[in-house]
Amino acid sequence: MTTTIRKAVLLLVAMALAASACTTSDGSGGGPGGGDLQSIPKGCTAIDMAVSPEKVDLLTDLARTFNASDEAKAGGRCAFVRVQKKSSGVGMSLLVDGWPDEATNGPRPVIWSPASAAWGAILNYRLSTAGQPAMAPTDAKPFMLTPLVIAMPKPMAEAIGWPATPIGFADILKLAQDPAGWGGKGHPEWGPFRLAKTNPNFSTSGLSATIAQYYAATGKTRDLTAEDLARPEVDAFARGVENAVVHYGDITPTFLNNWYRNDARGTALTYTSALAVEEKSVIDYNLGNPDGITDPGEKPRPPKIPLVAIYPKEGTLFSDSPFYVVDAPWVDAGERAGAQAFAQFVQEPANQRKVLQFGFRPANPQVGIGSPIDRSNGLDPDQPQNILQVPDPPVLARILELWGQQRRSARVMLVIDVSGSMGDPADDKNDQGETKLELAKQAAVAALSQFKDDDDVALRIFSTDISPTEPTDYLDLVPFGPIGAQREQIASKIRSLVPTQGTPLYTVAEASFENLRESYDAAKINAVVLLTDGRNEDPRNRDVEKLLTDLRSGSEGQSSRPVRIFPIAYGKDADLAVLKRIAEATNAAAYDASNPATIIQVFTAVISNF
Amino acid sequence: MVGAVAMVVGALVVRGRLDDKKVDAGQVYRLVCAADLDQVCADLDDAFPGKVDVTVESAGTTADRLRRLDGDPELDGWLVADPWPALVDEARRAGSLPPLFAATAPPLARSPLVIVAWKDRADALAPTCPTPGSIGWKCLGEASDQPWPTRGGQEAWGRVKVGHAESAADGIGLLVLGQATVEWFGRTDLSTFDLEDEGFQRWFSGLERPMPPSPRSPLDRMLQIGRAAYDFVGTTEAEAAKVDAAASRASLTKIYPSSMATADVVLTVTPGGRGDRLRDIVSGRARDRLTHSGWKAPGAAGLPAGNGLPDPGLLDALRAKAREVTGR
Repeated sequence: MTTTIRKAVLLLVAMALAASACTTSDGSGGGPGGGDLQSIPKGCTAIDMAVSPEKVDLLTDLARTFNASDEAKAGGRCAFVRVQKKSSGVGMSLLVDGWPDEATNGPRPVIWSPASAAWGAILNYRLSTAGQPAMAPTDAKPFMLTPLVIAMPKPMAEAIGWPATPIGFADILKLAQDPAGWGGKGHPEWGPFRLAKTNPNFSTSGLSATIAQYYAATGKTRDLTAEDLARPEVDAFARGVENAVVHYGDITPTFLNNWYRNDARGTALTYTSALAVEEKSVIDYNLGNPDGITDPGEKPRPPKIPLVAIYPKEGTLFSDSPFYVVDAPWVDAGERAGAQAFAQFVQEPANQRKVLQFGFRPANPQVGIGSPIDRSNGLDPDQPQNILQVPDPPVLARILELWGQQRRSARVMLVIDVSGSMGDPADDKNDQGETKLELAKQAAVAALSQFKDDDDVALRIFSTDISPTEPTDYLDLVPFGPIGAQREQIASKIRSLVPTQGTPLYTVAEASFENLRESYDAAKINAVVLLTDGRNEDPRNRDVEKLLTDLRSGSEGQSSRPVRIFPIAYGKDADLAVLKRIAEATNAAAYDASNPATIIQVFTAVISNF
Repeated sequence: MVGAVAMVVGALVVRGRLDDKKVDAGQVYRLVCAADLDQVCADLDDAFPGKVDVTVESAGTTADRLRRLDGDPELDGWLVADPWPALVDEARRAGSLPPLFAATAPPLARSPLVIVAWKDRADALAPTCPTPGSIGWKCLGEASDQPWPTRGGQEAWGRVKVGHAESAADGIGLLVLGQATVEWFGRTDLSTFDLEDEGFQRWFSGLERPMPPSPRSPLDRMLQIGRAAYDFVGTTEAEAAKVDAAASRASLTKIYPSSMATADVVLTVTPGGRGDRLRDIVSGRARDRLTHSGWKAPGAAGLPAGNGLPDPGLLDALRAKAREVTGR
């Protein structure tokens, strides 16, 4: 194996591991869609599907229709399709490993439908480097399509010439690097140009946006090479773009939800200026459903300022949702036949019209593009006019490797709860097993490797009276410094943590927020990672509304010093509702690790924001 | 007398049926079917369960496997566009290996090669072609990957995007490339020396190098993704029938290049009883399915006598050249 290929494989492994982590946190990584997996009717063959989260509702709906149709009973057989959501990276990683542990990971899929065929190519690439046959057939048909677009608030898009002037990635990225910010476009009140991007190791749209960024830097639209990436001006361009990033994240709904909340508060234009997302997300946002999930009883309300989609003039990338009937040893002829019947069923015009209703572009050309993909939703059905070529896997791997070096640096305070309850068993049914704190320590130490050397990281712990001097509710174990020089010191301190007393949650949240605001570094992403397993137990500070007001007032306005708090609700007793409000007040996201066994994956997902 | 004849005929029929059973008893015939004919392949697979084992793979994969094979080819017949079987046997002869296939089979069905285009793109390009108003492969090769404003189009359209299926892998893709080459030279009697012409090489590189690695059907991608994927795609008239069902059909047009060429599907079999028997079993069904899929009967009105393509050796040289230029 050449060095380049070895590096590529390592990166792809890392990518898969990272991807597997993120999704657990937002609930999209595993588990069935549309409720529990249905039991299989007597005499029927189960056709299990693993699909990327954005289409789980649509495919659950189509599976229900199919299961009741004549097509499912054709040829004397009875095929019964069951859908589980599995993020693309998780699915890819599990398939490489032969889909172990069905009890945890769900049933082995007969059909795998990731967001993009790029994941199938990566799967086959990884299998081939391991000397195994391909699993993703290269002739799989797309189920539906959606292009990557740049979403911008309408007034901002108009300020740069939309819709009359074609706008490209290069235009946006140059604007993001302009020190004059929106002042250069006659709108100093909007502050600097703030770019939002998801982490390309986790998110398909983040990966696509990063690929597009390199194409913009080289002026190419295809045949991107490792040599192109090594050019000094390309490196400088990439670093300039990353410096304009608000923060990263594992999934685009984190940004869209925060944008929507800011819209309600009248601060949408100072939260962020542009976000690379799939076209469908713009529809959802403009309908008042920014994360694309309608909760029971929820009545979507359109935002005051809608988003519009900019289709980059240089070209863009499509997510094509291939239907892979996997070439795996666990798929027998009957399952294959049933899978192919369902694959044909979803291509029927009536079902492809349903694809359109959900905001995706139909893969069957017999169904034209119409509402909701129209100008009333800020979209243009006649766009895009050009596409960018997906680079070869080794180039893709190099892009991810370089992104790790070029991304915006971070300044992060790790704040860990060492209250007495952290000494409880992580597994209620196993008193002799590891404690919650033991698992959290392992996760925190493992996550340290994800920081790059020039990220500044500090370590703080909190519990009632943990410090002999005021403030007594928290204790700084390691002050801020480049983690490259103190990674082992932080790890050592984490390993030595022991559980103590109560949980002064509000006090430590506010103090950590204020400490970072006081020492704010404008060149970096400033954030607090707050891990807690309980509720506020501080008799001296019970005022959550004051805390939220203070956090919010420190996070709004173009001259604010945005410090974001990313709470991790650890264990079933954590106060997830309050932690979500803390995250929302600082335009961040809360992470749910109510199952302590997921803490390593959740920690990894949290660190993806930096 | 009549009775005697009837008895003889009857005996022959019975004997024939017995022979059939003798040949068929426990026999499974092996058919390799080119992936670009996948619908026909799937139908044959369904139609003869336990009797015909259908393997679907790209023509290029089959050809590369067979051209140097010194052993059992593990097939009794190959359903593919002509002249892929001849291309294999010529390569085998050159490598001092015996040919695999029986004499050239007559075509089961034929389809002219066409260019599918977006009307606005065709209208913009046509006046800039060497023969103004007439879009053909010579023009497309010159225009491919050029900025649209230099070819009569708008800046927002990007570059001129021309596609056909991979000539190294796809049964039809190689024929489209053959048709394009014939059009550039204006004749079919080409030798490999002709391919050294500098003007041709420039044009050939201009056409092939910018083409992205294509899916099996560039036309499907053109219809799914729209103008972002391709402005012009070369394929068969049979496949181009998809345009008539597409929601965007009013924006599309089919262009018949001046150098008419056809894709002719053949069922070429190995010499001997097994190959003959396979042909007897599947030919009729394959012919029916092809015509059902938009292919024409070999004698249909409007079709030329020949296929209008260079000989197999030249097509093989074009295939190698395309690989050289694209690196695939």
